[in-house]
Amino acid sequence: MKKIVVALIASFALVQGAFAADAAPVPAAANAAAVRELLEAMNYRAMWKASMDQMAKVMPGMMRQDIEATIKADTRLNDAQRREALLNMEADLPKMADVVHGVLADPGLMSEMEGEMITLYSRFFTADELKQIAAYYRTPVGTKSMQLMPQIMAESMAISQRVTIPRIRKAMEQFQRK
Amino acid sequence: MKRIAFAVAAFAIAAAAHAAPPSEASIRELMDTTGARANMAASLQNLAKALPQILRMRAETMVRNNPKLNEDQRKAEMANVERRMPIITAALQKDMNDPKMVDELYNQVVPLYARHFTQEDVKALTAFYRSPAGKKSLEVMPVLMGESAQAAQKIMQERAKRIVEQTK
Repeated sequence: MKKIVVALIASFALVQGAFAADAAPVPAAANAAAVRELLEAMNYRAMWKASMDQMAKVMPGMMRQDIEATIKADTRLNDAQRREALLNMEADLPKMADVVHGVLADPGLMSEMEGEMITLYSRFFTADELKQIAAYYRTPVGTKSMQLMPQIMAESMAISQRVTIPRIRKAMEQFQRK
Repeated sequence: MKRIAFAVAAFAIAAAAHAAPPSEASIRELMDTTGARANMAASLQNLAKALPQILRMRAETMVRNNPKLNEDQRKAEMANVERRMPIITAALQKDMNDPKMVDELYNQVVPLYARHFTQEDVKALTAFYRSPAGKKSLEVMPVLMGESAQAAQKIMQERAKRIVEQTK
């Protein structure tokens, strides 16, 4: 059951393919400071916390669905055993949710991620570019666009679904007919 | 009294002018600057590539889990799925490559920007994305976002594993 928790946490970041295993160069000190400044201008900590809170909120539901499906598909169980397994799962769920919440809310996780971001940004940007981008995010429009980002992303996603789904459905119907 | 009314009216006009909604042309200019069309086309392409795999998996699972089929029927159904795959792949490719699709997306995103940004915002956004730092961040962002998601995934996986081991 715990394995499912690990898999779910891992899959949540929604990344396909293996990890790129290239050794990242150690960033220059000047860049680390510039990345930190950019992350601060982007309000990175607040964004990170918001997305972790969101994840902690939806995880228990996902875990229930996943485990339920596993129990229901288990042909070795008879009906009584299945009922019992489902009840056990319900009883365990709050504990599992606590574990997940603990992982996600850990400040150590955020600082570890910050370290990764420093390495990552330093690979792509010079200190000077980072400063310019940070300056932009401190302007009113930069701040505004950063704040609006999640909403705009969600709205664009809804638009693209609205546009693509009818066509996908049509293609699927064609598929089923032939 | 009149003077106050005038001042209020003038203020209202000034405020309205300040928050003027952006023109459609300026939004399209911003979208052209950020390469929105190419991005949309690329994500439709990705969708066209990913969808057949998802559909195949779903169809195969349905065949595999259908208790009414015997082994031969199952094999025949699987072959059937296989045979139909190229048809759906081609249909999806055609749909997702349709330039009209990008136009449709484009047309719907314009009002989205108009709802959230003023004319002044759109001008400032366009200016930033035309600057060297803005251009570079546009170029690099997709890779950066992908890699940071990978990094987050890796860190969380390691932590989750550690916790599971501790609580064993």
